[in-house]
Amino acid sequence: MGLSREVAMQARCDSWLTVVVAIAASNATIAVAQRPDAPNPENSPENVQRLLQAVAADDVFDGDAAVLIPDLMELVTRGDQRESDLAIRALGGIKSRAAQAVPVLCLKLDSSGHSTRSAAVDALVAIGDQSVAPLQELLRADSPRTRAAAVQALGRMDRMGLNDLERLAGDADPRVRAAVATALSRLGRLGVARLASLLRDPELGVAVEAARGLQSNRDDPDLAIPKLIEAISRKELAWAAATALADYGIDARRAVPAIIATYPLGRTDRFFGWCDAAEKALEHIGPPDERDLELLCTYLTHEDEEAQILAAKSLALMGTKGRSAASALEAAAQATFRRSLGVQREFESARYDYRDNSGRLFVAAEYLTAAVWHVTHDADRFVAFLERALIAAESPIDLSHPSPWDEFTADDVRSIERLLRSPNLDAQLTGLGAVDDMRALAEPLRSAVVDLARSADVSVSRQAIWSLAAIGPTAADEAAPIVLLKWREGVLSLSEFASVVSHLHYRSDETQALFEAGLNDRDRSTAKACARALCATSTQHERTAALVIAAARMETLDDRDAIEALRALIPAEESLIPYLVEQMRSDDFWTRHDAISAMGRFGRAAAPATSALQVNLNNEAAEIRLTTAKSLFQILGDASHLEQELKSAFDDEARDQVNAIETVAELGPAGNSFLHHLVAALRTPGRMFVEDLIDALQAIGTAEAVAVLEETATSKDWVLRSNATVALRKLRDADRRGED
Amino acid sequence: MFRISLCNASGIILLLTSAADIGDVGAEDVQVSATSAGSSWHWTPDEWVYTEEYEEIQGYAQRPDDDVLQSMTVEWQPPELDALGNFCTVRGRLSVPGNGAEGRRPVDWFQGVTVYMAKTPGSKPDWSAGMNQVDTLDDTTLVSTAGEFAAVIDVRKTQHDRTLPEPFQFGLALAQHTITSKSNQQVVWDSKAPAMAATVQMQTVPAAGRLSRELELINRASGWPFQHPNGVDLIRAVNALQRLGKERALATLEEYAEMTSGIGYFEEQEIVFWIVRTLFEPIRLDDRIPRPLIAVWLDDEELPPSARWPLNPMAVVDDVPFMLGHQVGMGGVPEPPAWQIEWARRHGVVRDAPLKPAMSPLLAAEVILGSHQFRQLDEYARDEATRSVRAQAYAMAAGLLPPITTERLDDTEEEIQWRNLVEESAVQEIRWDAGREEFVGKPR
Repeated sequence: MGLSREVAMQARCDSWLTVVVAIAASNATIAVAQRPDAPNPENSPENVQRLLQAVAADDVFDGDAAVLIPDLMELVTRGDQRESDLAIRALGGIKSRAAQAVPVLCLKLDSSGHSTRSAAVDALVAIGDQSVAPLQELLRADSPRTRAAAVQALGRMDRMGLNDLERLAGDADPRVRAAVATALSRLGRLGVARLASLLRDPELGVAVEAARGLQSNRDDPDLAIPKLIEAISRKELAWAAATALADYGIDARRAVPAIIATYPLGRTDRFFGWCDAAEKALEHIGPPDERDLELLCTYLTHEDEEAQILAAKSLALMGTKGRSAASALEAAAQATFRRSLGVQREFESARYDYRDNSGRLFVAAEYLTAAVWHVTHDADRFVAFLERALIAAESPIDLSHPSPWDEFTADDVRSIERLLRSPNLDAQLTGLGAVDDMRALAEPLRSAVVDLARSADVSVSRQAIWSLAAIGPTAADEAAPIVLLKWREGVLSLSEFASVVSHLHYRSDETQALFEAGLNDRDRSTAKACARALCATSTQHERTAALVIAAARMETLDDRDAIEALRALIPAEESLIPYLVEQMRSDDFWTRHDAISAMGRFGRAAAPATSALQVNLNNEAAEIRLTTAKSLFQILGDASHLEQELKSAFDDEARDQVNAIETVAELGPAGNSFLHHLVAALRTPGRMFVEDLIDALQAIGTAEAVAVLEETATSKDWVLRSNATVALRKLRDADRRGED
Repeated sequence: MFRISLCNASGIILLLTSAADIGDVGAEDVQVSATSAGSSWHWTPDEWVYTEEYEEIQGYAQRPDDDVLQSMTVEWQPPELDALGNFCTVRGRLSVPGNGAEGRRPVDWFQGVTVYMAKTPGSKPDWSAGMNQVDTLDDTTLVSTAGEFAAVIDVRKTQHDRTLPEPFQFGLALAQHTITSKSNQQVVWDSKAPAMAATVQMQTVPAAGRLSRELELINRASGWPFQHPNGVDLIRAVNALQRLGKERALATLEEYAEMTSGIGYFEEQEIVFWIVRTLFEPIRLDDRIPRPLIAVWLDDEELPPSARWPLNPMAVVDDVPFMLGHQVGMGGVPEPPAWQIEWARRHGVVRDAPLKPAMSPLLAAEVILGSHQFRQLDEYARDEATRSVRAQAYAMAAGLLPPITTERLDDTEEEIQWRNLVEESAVQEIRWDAGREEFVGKPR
């Protein structure tokens, strides 16, 4: 270190006011006063080592750490690197009482060790106000490491002046400029312009920090968004700019064309696996601006099929506002189906050639096709186009991106009959796929589907039978004879037959006898399907329960499968309670778990089983504790255990959070008592499991839950906004059906 | 076009293609395939045996009798080195006398072979009763229906002078085939298999291509720490790259990663992870270099922040680098080095100065092993790291310290040996010589 500037600090002092600071021209030396030699029984070397050990182990130190400050300062200065780092952390832990250590800690801001500098910054921030003056002096230190660390520390304490930030934004060292970006991110609107200019910093690391800064400091979107859009054109920075734009949500809609045009932008940071930042950003930004529609249409024929998919998805999000893109989408879809076929044929004889992307091209064409529906909402036009597309595709088309069929109204459904009645096998299968998605709404197509179920073509017949199952009980009478016939002909296995009958809720003496016999089938999956079918269709609950339990005891059926089937009889069939109590002691974890969960569904009727349940509150597995708490709440109305389990689950890892969200959702309206957990999770920055959270709010469905959904539907984040909007629509549809 | 697809037990599919003349079959492809159904490996310093079970062997000619096998000859092609000069690919074509007017015809039945290569240039090991691992290297392979084979041998294990073309003896031994059913065979490659006399020949291994100094240093460091524990090679590579600055250093690392992405290379790419951790630091003080998701592990996730290792699984003490992590088994695909390079480009700055160790490696090891943070690791991690860190420290100063025994020692003996070495390192005043970029001591 050059020594043209001198800083002398008296280390042992009770407050910063008594520290003598002498600052000369341009460099820094910090002379630490010698520690007094007066013996102190509390600051023996053993105590210092015990303190360091406590810091390393994150244990509580059972003494007065402040007494050891001089020893710690000595270690910071003269200890080996690992010991010094711990001593720095120990001083930070003493907080403002360690003010006398500020000069020593300031020296460590020039350490060559990144972790040492980082620890010193943490300690100076923890000491607080008394670090500020010396740190401000160090903003002019010769050492760039020291300057960067000082900016970092002062920035964290919100003690960086705008003038200093402006000056240091032009510092020669990139670490200083990066620290300035971080400090600007905490400065609100005042910091935005400078952050935007740092996006052009020649050092990528600084520009990335500027993008991050604009991601967290969103106080001036009108200024920041155009600059971030510009930054997308800088190849290595594009991912960071798009990630920042994602947090502006729908306000960043003008960024959509740039994001797609520049695809791929680069891997999302800190993510194991390939997820391009463009995909993530577009999810949060949502539909593009109408002014960009024409430009987006030019990307529909992009040579990279991933860019085609992004363009199709973006246009689809516009809904009928994107209607003028329909012809371009149709043309692009047909061309892409043909391109896919061409590539497939080119590589037919080279099975493992990595250049064969025909499958992904086909998916791109499916996205383009689905988008035709989303921008038109014209069922006749869409189905007519689909017929043409099927010829180009030479294969059934699977539309689930998202499925147009989900949005078909009862009036739209009839148009699909053209596909089902078409002589083209691919059209028939595509039409049956539509029926599967529309479920009960496809009831007007029942006759056409029944005709296909009679088909001599086994694949069509099987698919049509599953489609009848999807339509459900309203198709039962017409479907049952054909389903039985196909089972007898061997088109369906007993397991498939049982599953179809479950969905149709069809019951006859013949099917009951078949399923009762099937409980003892050697094939476990067949026995399971028969148990489910019996429980779903039986009118003699007690007899059915006894048969299923007997099959479980005979081990032709797993207990877990038995519990799953028997859930259909709960809460009506209380004779199941002793069996469930028994299974709560099962050696198998998931059997135990499912038995506890099923018990809760009985509500107060299961009160005698509470003591057997309560022992599971101390189980070491969080899943068991959570399920037990939920069942106790259902049985006794006691929310305390569930409240406690939910609190720890939401504080814990991702896996537990998903379980917690599902648990609240399973309670339906009763989950309202735990709504605050969902709201907190939804408002957490970087929130995860948005769809699960919204689904849970929908499942609760109370006025309070609806209010949360309504507020969420106004979010700038398209993921939140769109999911909440769909959930509200579903709730209103359900209300309407209830009124009808 | 012949295509040979070999599926091994773990589902990896290898495709070999050869442009063989298939005569009257015309344009129609002939599918040649064999599926591996499992393998076993037996090794001692004296011998090795590799056994593989093959199923669904299709498209090969019928296996001939022993007389035909004995008449096999090989037409060698000149050996080639890869761009880094580490692996020698040796190819050849096996043939047998043809029928009648036909001269020779390629070996077109399912046949395994072992390629032998002498370790010393010009030497002629006797392979009449198989190979000796002291003087010979090997690679096992299968012959295509065009009679062609290719073997890849790590010439870093030979005495090849990278700067010169040198003659090495090569030979070919046949694997033993047992036909277990119509389309299944067991193939046994065995170090005791004699090389066929007619195949033993001197071939010239070329000089390695010229590399930049930085690439050469990275290549030399590439076995650190698990193949060779001497961290001095790592220090030299880091220092050479440090002088290049960020962009050129990253471009060099990318070039190295690309050069080691081919067949034969595996753990060599890990050096990129260790160099990035030593050469770069996060541009932000509150950031950390992400832990590499590869089969090297130091478990500190459950430890309090102050006990964690910021360069996990490494540690650098006073500019002396050490690996604390140990190798583990893992499933799935390891993180590619490109991701660490990407991290460095996005979030890293090159260290301010070259590494200049400020203490002897043995004392640096003592700092780590005696630290409170080290004591927080679990017992297994501590045991593994203690052995490894001591070995690395010794390797960095081996020439300055007395030789250590290669015999297995119990814990007490190991401890005594280590204490003696630490004392000796103090006596020797071992220190870093920045000019020579090595540790030096008092003249003996």
